[in-house]
Amino acid sequence: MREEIAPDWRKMDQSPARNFSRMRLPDWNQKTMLAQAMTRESPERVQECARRDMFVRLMEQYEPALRRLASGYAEQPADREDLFQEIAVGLWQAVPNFRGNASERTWLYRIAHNIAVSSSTRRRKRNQKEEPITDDTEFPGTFINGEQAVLRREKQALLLRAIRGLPTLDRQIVLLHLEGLNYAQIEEISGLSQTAIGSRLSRVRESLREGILSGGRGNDGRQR
Amino acid sequence: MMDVNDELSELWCSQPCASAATKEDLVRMVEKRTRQFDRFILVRNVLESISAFAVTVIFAAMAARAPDVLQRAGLLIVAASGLWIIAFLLRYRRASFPADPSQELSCYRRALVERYDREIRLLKSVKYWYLLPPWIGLLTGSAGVILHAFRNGRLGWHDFIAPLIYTAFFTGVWWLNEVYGVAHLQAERARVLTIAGDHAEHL
Repeated sequence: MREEIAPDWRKMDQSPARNFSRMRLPDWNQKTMLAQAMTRESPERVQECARRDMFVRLMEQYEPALRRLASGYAEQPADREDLFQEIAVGLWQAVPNFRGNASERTWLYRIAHNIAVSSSTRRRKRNQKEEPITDDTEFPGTFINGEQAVLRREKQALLLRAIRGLPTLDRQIVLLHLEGLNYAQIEEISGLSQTAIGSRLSRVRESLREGILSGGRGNDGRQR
Repeated sequence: MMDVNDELSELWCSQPCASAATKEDLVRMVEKRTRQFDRFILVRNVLESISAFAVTVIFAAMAARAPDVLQRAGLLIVAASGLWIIAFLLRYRRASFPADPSQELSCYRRALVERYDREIRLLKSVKYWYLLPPWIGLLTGSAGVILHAFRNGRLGWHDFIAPLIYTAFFTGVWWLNEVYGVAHLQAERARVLTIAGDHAEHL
């Protein structure tokens, strides 16, 4: 009788609730707690460090791609740098909200393109009032050797000019494609169907190729 | 022969994009810009609250010394409208969030357009929540002054100058918000819409 009333500690120890609570303590949490205990830092400080680490890692990995993206939207070097900084600030603010629902890469490109669009909407208005400075020195530092290098720089400048001349949506798709994202990833970022992406890309690629081969002359034969 | 896609991608990705800044510099830059923005918002809110509070205190003190009921009522309405405006603004700002840039491109555009619509609605309603309460208060106070002067037999054209001046001032503020401000926002909204429309066509 007494045995029936007394709790079976062995069974309780193996109860699903206890197991569940064990399962809910993943490794990173234990490490964070350990780090807090060791460094005696506040949770806010630990979160700030995690944010900084993720931001630095993203920048190490994607800074060249983000700078290329900025060059696809802004013509003037100062505008490019400004846009890049805006994107960096946007990423810094978004890092704590990253939940891993999308891949890190598509998440980053979504933020970068969205900021680039809203920023270029504002910049277009400002630039209408200012005299535009033509930026002919697009690629300082592309040094392969001799004539080959000059030709390459010329081609790059033509490609960049052709991309900047595209409508915003085409530009976004082609920039993502040139960065090596596949149709599924572009769909995830843009919300367009893969069929629409495919048809747009084939048209835009053709016009870009023609633009480069014809030395910056569009289909109408006019110099851009 | 090299594939066209590969050639374009290779050409694109081989652009030199070296940055002079180190990653630590970048972190410092984003922290600085974020801090500057937060400080700007804080300073703006504090300044607006202080001005609203100052308007309330000044007009409440004037109401305490007002010689008749109508003037006192008018000045008290102006004092209360200072508090009402700042409460309205703080509530509005708390309820409005910037568009989240981690959304899909099409959703982000829609969010941007909605945000512009909200701002436009706010500016179009300026006459009701921002201008009308203090204007009614000032008008009531002026009516009290005119009535007081009339009773004392000292009513002159100069008693009508103040209502004309503040009505002209309020009209100017209304024009700046509802005509100039709304036109500016509508132009920006149209620019976003051209992108959004372009996008919607192909969904």
